[in-house]
Amino acid sequence: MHLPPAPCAGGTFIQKTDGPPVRSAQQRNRAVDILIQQILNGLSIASVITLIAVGVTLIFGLTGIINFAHGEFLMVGSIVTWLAVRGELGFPLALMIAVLAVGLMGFVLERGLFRFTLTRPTNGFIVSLGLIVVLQHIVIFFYDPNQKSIPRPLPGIWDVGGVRIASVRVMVILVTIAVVALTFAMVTRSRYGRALRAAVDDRDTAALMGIPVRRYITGVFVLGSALAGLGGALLIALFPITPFTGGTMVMKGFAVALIGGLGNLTGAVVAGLILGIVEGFSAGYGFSAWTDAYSFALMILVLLFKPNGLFGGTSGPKMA
Amino acid sequence: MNNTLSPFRSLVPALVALALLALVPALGPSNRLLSLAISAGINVVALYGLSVLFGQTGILSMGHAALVGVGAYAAALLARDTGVGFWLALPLGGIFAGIAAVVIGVPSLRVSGHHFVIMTFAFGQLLTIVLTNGGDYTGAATGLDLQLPVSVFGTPVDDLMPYYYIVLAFVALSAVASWAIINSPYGRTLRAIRENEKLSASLGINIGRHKIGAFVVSGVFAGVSGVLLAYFLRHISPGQFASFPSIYLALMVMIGGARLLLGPLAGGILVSFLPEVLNLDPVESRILYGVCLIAVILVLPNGLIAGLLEGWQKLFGNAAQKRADNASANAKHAPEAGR
Amino acid sequence: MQMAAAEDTIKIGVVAAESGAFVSAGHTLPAGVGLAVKEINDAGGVKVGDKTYKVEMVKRDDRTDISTAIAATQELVRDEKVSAIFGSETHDFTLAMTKITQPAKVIQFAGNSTLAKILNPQSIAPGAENHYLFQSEPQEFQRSGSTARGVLSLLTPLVGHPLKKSVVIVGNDATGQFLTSYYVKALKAEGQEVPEVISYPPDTTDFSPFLTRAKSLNPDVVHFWYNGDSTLTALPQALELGVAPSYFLFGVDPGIWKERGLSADVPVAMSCVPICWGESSNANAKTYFKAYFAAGAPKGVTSSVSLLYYDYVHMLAEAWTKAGSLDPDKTVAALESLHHKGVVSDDLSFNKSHQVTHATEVCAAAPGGDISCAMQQPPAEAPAE
Repeated sequence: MHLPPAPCAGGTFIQKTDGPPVRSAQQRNRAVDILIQQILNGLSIASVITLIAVGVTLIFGLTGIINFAHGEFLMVGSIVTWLAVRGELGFPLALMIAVLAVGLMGFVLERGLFRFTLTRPTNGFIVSLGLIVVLQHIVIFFYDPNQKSIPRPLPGIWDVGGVRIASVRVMVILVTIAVVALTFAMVTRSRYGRALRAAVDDRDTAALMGIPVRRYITGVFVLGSALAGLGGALLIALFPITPFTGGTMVMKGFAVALIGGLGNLTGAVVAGLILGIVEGFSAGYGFSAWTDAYSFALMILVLLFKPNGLFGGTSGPKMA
Repeated sequence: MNNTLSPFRSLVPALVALALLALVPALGPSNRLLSLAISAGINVVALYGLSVLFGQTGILSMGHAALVGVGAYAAALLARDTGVGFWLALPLGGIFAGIAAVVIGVPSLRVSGHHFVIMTFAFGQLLTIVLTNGGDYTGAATGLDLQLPVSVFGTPVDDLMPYYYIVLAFVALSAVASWAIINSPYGRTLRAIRENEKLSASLGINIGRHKIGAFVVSGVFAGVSGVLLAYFLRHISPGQFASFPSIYLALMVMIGGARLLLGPLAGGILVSFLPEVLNLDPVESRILYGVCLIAVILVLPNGLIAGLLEGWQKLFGNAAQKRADNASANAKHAPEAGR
Repeated sequence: MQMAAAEDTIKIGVVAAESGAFVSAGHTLPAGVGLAVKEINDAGGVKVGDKTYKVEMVKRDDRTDISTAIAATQELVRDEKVSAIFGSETHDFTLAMTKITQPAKVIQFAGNSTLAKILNPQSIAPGAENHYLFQSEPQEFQRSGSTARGVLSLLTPLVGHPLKKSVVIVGNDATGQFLTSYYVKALKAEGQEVPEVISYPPDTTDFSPFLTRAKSLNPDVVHFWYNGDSTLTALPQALELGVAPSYFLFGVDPGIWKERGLSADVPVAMSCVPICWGESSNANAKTYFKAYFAAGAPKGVTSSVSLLYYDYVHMLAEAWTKAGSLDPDKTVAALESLHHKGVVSDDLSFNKSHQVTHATEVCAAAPGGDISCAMQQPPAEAPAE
């Protein structure tokens, strides 16, 4: 009985642009090819981690809000993308909707919840824990706890001499680079960014100098949330997600942000890259069971010797 | 914290609550309730440790469940490899957890407040991973069974009620111990560090040592809690001490309030029984649960007990408060007059 | 037919994850047990001695939380005074539950093959600590043996050349660790070279480094052991990396394969726990699943897990009738001597360690989409070390 593959939502759909390569087994898997493949794998992992870490480092480092629910923001972005694609809107449009939706959610939550915790960041942290539960279960309430996925937006696979990478992964890497570069320019080079970093160091003086600190904080939070929405859209383009996916990714995002230095975008990118490659190589060269441990171990080590991160950053929100 | 009242007065509400809890078995509760109450009580023991840490030093640890796990695994390994039973395992579990606290605390306390939170979280995760990959020695992901029974004066404890009393006794012990620490010179030093670290340092107080000490104390409580848990469940595994349980413990202490003696008790009972009481559809009840959590934290940032107390004072205490205010206002003017 | 003392009820308890992270496996327990209980009552009840009893299922949600599971078990055993308990699928909870059910002489059935760690002829003897505990899944070497044999025999003709090298990829949790040790032995007993077992952290979403490593070993088959959700995340990544000429997916039912519209350009084998609901060669199973889904249970990755409980409710009822009494010791003796005609097997019986033996169904999807299934009988003995 022949069943045509159905590109329904929740279905995964593999298409190959070439036929199966005709090579001998030895040629197929040369050690060099494997090495290059693992580097590519690491880059792909790094791009996802970096996107999360950039959002975290901006928010944690520059606004003083500890939002552990950042992973759930990501997940909401994925769900919105899934819904939009299910509604026949096409991936690019779905992505933009996800970015806007999560950015809006960030705005509402910041104005409605987090701004009351600015003087007590620990409370903000606890609030975000409550948010995790709420967001996860709202999604489960309306949909269900099972995996959700979308058809690959770019269904091809690039095969260069035995090294293969899905086009969609290349897209994610490129988009991440573009977005991070843009964010970098915005936050570091602009007057806005400089003012913001001044505000983190000394809120009162900054306010005295006419910087609308509250508004900047909201702005950064919205930006970080929008980045999470983007990350979520890209994530579901790559893998199926469940309502619990956010929780597993956010810890690495925090670790990378801390390793790189809070508020330091370059740091987040470099640390994300390092971690992605380390994880890829450890998984790929025989220490697979310990893969999750590296982000934690690395973070502990870095913080021991350079408490402000590898590239220096703010020391986090100041307690009032 | 207002220390104008005799320190014993702060102990009284907790003792009253404990006495009431001791009467619960007389009301003929279901075994389900007793079982949940024992689980809650075990958590409360750990919570008292966390409240000493958080309430007195302002440090919040998100790896507390890992320390509980150290105690639990110590109990299981001791029972398996050396035949050491319940009563001896309790202090030993506390000691092992205290040592683990030193290992975690020394690097973690070198970083500032919010990094510390993440560090403890990371250590907690690391411990879980180590236990999972620990092969047959730690039972790997499957975990360990506890074969030895709990015996009181030679007779093994079979029913839930005796174990309930044992746990309640340890809850009482934890409450009194944390009260003693809070009201000791050590406790005052910790609070001084919390209020103004730089000033304390300039007065010659060794900040690092005190903070680590507080962390170790919290670890000892956690270790004892772990031993109680191991002998209750009789089967432990790494997953029980991972990130989510740590988050739960921190939540309980925040909700109940870390600075009042009733706080951990209230927080532990509330969080353990709320899902039980709100027996809605599990998904809906969790949404409500999260919302309540957020509401409580925003509206009552010092925890439920403190919030209730403030509410009580506002309603009934206005007259007494005015008298007290006058007295302290007079006291304030005196030294100024003397200048 | 008027039942003389039909108001007498026997209570059987179910502890399962009806909410929380394990709900996908958990909900199948009350569904399967509930169906069996309904069938028993519709047929008039259970005849024990000269009384006929109705059966009542008392189910409790463990919320994927061990304290709740324990409290539920305490409630069922001490407050509700059930005669038997089914559950839970979470192997951690099951082990803790036995500490309550066994001293109380409540018969417990659980479908965790990890119970083998505490079940042996000494521990199930009368008076011993697990006398009232029964494992409703075959011993792992049997399940692994049937699976290995079935997978290799179905894949070899589809791939077109002999399969020599296998790589196993497994989630690094309790079940994964346990199952893999047996499966690797089974593969080797079938003549496979297994250069490596690659363990991934259970929450992994990006499998590409693990898969690339597998690819570097030049396998003929890559076996994904456990769990179904992770496997379905990993498979597309494996296909796009071109890791191997064939794959095996443990615990992925052909029903899921079809529902999600999956397809691959290489042969893919699947195994069910224990029989497939999506496409089965077993007539009994087809009837069962029809009734099971008609009663409202959702079609999920783990729907067939319900079979690890359904048959044993009927078997327990048969044991009560045979023993003529509800006394736990007599019931256990009856269970030990019974041969029950169930769905998973025409001859279901417990061995000297309270474990069952039956076949496992293995299927294979050819690149064109055709799926064929076969029941694979288990080996009689464990492979030599």
